[in-house]
Amino acid sequence: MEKARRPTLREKTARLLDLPAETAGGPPALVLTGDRDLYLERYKGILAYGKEEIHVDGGKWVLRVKGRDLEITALRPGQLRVAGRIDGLELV
Amino acid sequence: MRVRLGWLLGEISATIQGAGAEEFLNRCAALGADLWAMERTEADGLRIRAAAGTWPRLRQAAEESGCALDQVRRQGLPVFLGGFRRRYALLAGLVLCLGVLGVGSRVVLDLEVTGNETLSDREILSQLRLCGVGVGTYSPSVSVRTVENRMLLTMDRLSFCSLTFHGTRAVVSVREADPAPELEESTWPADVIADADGILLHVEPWAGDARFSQGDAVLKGEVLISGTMTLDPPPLIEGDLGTMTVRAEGRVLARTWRTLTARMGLTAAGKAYTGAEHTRYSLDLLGRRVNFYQNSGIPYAKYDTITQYKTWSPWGSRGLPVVWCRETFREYRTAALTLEPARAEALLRDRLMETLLARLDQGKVLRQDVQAVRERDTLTVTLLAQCTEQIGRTREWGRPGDAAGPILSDTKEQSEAGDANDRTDSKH
Repeated sequence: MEKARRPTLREKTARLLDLPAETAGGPPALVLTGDRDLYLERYKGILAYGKEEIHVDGGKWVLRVKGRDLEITALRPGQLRVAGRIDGLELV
Repeated sequence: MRVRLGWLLGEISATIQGAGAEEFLNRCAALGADLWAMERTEADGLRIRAAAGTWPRLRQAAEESGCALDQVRRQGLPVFLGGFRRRYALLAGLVLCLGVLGVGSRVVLDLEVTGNETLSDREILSQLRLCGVGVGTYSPSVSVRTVENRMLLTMDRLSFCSLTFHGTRAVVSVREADPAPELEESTWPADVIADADGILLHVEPWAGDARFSQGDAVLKGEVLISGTMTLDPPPLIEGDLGTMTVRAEGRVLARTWRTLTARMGLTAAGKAYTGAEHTRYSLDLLGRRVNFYQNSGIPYAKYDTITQYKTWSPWGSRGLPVVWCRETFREYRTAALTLEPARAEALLRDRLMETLLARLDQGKVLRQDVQAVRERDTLTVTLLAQCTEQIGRTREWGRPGDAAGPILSDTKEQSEAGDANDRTDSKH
């Protein structure tokens, strides 16, 4: 049985003050627009980059982006944009 | 949009080879190097685009991740402009153009005058040039307030003057002063005398005693309305109350007869062109004249000068201060010319009629007759006209410089001019 993740201090504070989780600057945020564009914030790093699969380190988990003709169209510190045909997202 | 921004900022294309391509990307993000359009080329290959200024950070990231970094292409506006770094003449020309543009946009090329009614544009612009403002003046060097004050001081007919610069155009807004009214001395004693011989048609004394009535014949110089008024005693009282001195005023209409004569020689010296011409050119640039004839003189003793100006007006503009001037000198000799008598008579008749109308005060011509007599080479034209006009003229008493002096009321005014006719001679 997988051990449940303990919330961080930032997450506890945000929950206590009834603030949105992204304002606490904690976990990564994902915005998926249709199946063609994926935007990530506060990611930790890129673990694997291929045309059919991209693995992104989110800290507590790894995001697997599966699809076809995937391409990282923009890369900035803490921000990432992926374009292509996105077939699935998986948190590992 | 990213492509265009990348072109403006300058971008590089590079390829990454090695097993740690993902590590390279993470290190680039950590170093703050923005990347875009990352494309997998093969198993271990990656093609990226980045801002041109991030090349040192990309190399650092490649070294730390153990990848091979190759630059494929540099492009964009900074790269394009960088190609001109060693073209010094081009850079100098660019700086010169910018300088000329910056200075030239403040040089006065066009002058506009508004608000003038009786004063001509030429008069105002001429005075403005004397104050230091004209075509070619650098407007920031002009003290506008000083120029405005000098314009007002030197041109009495101006009551307001404003000078405004709009780039290369200078606008002069003026307001003309109302002419000072003529102050009439209303208390100095005076008579109204006849200005011409005639038969009175209407006598209207406003002040003073009328000496004549309607239908009387008067001579030039006679007192029509006297400034010495006899005071009448009240009813039932006898006695002499004496006289009172006033300034006589009134309106006296009379029928007059005018005779005007003019003479003209039928033979006159005229110009006979020899056909020889000499032309020279010059260029007026920003008010400065550039001669293309150097010191060459005019080879004729007698000549007419015909000057033609052509202003350069490109693109429908009002005209730039670049004027091409062409002067043509046409030689002539003096020769005796004979005028046609009929033409000379018509000319003299028109002149006499103009003179007569100018002399009539509130009058009109009732009848006219013209006589022309030719004696040898001289034509004499006489205009006989019957008119109605206002013949009363105020003559003050004893003014300094007035030969008449005080006039007693019982003294008969004599005609100043024995000759009843006017005479006008003109020779052409």
